[in-house]
Amino acid sequence: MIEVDGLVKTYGTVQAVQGLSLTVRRGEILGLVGPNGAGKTTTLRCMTGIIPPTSGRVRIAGFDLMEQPLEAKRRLAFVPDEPRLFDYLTSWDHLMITSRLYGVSDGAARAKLLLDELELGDRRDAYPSELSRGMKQKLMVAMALLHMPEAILLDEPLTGLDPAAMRRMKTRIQTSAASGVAVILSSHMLHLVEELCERVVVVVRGRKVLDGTLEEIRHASPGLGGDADLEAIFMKAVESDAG
Amino acid sequence: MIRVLVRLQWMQLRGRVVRSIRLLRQPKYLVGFLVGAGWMGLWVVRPLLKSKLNFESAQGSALGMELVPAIHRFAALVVTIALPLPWLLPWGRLGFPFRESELTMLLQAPLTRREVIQYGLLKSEVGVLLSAFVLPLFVGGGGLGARLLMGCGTWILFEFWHLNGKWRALFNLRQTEIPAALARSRRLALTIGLTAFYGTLLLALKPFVARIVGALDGADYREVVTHLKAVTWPPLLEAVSTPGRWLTAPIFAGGGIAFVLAAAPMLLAILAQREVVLRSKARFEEHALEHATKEQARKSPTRRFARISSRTRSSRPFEIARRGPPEVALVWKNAVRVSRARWVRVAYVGSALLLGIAVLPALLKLPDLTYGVLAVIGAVPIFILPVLAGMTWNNDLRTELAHIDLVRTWPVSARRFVLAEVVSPAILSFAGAAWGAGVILTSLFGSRLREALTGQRSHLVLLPRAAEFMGVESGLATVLLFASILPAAAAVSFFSSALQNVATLWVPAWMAHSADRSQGVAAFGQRMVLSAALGLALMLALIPSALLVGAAVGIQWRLGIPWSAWEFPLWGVLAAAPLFAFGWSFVQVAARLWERLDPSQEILELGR
Repeated sequence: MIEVDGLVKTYGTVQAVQGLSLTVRRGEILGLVGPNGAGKTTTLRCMTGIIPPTSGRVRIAGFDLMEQPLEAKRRLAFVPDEPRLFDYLTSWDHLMITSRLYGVSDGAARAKLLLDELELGDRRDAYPSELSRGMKQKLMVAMALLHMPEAILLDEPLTGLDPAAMRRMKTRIQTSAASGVAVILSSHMLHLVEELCERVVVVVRGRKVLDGTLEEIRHASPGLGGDADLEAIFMKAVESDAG
Repeated sequence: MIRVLVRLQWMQLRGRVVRSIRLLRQPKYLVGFLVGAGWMGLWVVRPLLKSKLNFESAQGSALGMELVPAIHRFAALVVTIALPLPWLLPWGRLGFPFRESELTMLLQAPLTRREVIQYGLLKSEVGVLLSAFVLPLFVGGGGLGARLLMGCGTWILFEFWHLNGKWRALFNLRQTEIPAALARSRRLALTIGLTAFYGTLLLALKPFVARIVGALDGADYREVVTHLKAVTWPPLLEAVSTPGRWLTAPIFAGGGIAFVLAAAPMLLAILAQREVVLRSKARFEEHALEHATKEQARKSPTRRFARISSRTRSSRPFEIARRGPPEVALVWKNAVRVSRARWVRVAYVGSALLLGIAVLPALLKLPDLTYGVLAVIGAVPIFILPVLAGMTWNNDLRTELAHIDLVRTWPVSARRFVLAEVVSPAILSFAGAAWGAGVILTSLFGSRLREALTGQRSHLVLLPRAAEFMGVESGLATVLLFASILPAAAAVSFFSSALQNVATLWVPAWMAHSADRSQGVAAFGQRMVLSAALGLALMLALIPSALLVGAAVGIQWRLGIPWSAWEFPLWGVLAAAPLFAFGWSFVQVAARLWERLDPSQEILELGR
């Protein structure tokens, strides 16, 4: 569903992403982890067409993001780490414009369902400045889910959410995946990644250093015990790269 | 410790400068900077440097020089009246220019109150210095030295006033902290003292004002100065306004020893007052924080949305259907940014206003001039709004760049996206121009109505000899004329907006999509380039328009067909066509730029 092949992004002399390749199957949740500045957000931005990659290919549901961007983007949703909503649109307006842009035939009904599900039903006419950080995040998620994408990219989706909302969000992500959506989840919350993701990609300094299920990447990290968790694997990977 | 804070300010400033300089590595930004700097150098710095570094005052007319002592006295009087006046009020803002984040950091740092206040005063000093020196330096006369001295004199006055304001605010704050009885007695003493002062001032002023009025009554305006000079000031008024005269003396002292003698005591007064402020026992912290929070909210671009009623929030300019071209949704969104008023309702209200403009002055039998004034008012949006379409509404690509993470993921082709962004302000500008045309037409109609109702002949005729040259009477010719202006107005609006959006994508880092990104010489240069480019491009684009209209007129003349006002709309369309074509080509260019745009360095990396 999501295929990334040899993705490179260069800023002047700095290589932010160095030949990253990964694949996410339909219904799979992939965790993308790495230290600050590892190139996770740049990778996600390249995968959504926000910034053009220097080289490499991104395919969403078989459509090349460079050659057939509209087809690819129609099947894609992105929830950025910082919810930058339009100051002058209410929650409902945001969903309505998303609905029209993606051509959702039952947009209003779906928007109402999503607002209720994400506990924003009573904030339908609120402006972003009247929403908390968590509410804005939820609205971004509602906008992302409105057109029933086939691939979702989430950058730190739980930031600002209260414990109950976190639980609901986790369930929503799992439900989406269960319905066949390919999900990439980028987060520093390693326990969340461990809990939700079937596969994990560890990125350090723009390079993929580990890729596989928890079991596979544990085996790929020599010197760790059989019960090592993702945090231990992550720390080992980062230290090995620094060494 | 205060040095650390000053260093913090310096580092912030240095960071901004370095960021701007890095941007200049790209030729397009460098050109903008050079143009802006060149413009500044040519019009501002060069005249300053050309004036010799001497301390001689401007050699103005003898009349002006003679007037200086009188001006000094009147300035002193104004200061005497205005400076103590706020002390009568038991409230007032503290107004230290702290940001909320800054204050949070300062208040938890190991700093004394004195240091925090000192830092606050230091920060506000920038504003005081700027306001004190700008006018004398750039507008004042005489050599550079004389202008600098005048700036110093103005600074002394402003600084004293500024500190006095802070003292008063801290005094009022302290009043809320001390026992109520003590606060009341202090307030009472202050009020009695000030009332007595203003009473004395009033007593002294009354005969003085009578003397001035008497001296000027019936006098030739050329003799006003002589009379003002000759008016004797009552000794009481002289005495009361003496502190004001001391305070303003450095401004009027001229150079040399006179300035030093005038400035030295005032500098001591400033130091004393500063010490009073620094030693204040008022607990300003909470109020400063409250003030900073309010200021932040006041400056927030989202402030206006919070006040919109729940009923208005559900209103939209027009309803968007479930399916259809995505551009319509973008235009809808950009229209919401300007106003939520329904377009249909706006059209009704606009029509009702036009009807009122046509009928009311006639019914009220107002002078014919009323319609003339209304027609001139109507002409303003016709000519201004289309030309400035790209700069007026701020509902185009500039505002989208702040939401790049969202808008770039939308499945809308670059051309459609850019077209919607270009069309959004163009529609509003065209609507404004059309309404202006409506105002002119209804004014002309109203003047005829007034003529019929009052029997008085109206002089408001736009094309008086239309029947002679254009084959139709003037009323119809005027309508046809506006039918030709409107396509041209639409074309200019589209052209202007398209050019603005190309510029937005060409130099995105200079666009004002956040508060601190539209400042500096470079941004100023960009605006200069853009305004010049817009003016030049519009002039160039009008050449083919003029050629087309000229060709049509020429062919008609060659064929011997008489001219008619019925051809006006055709000429309007011919004039509009090249502008639309140029605008469309700008849309194509902007679409290519949007496709290739890498926002990582010019938008995302600059911080928002």
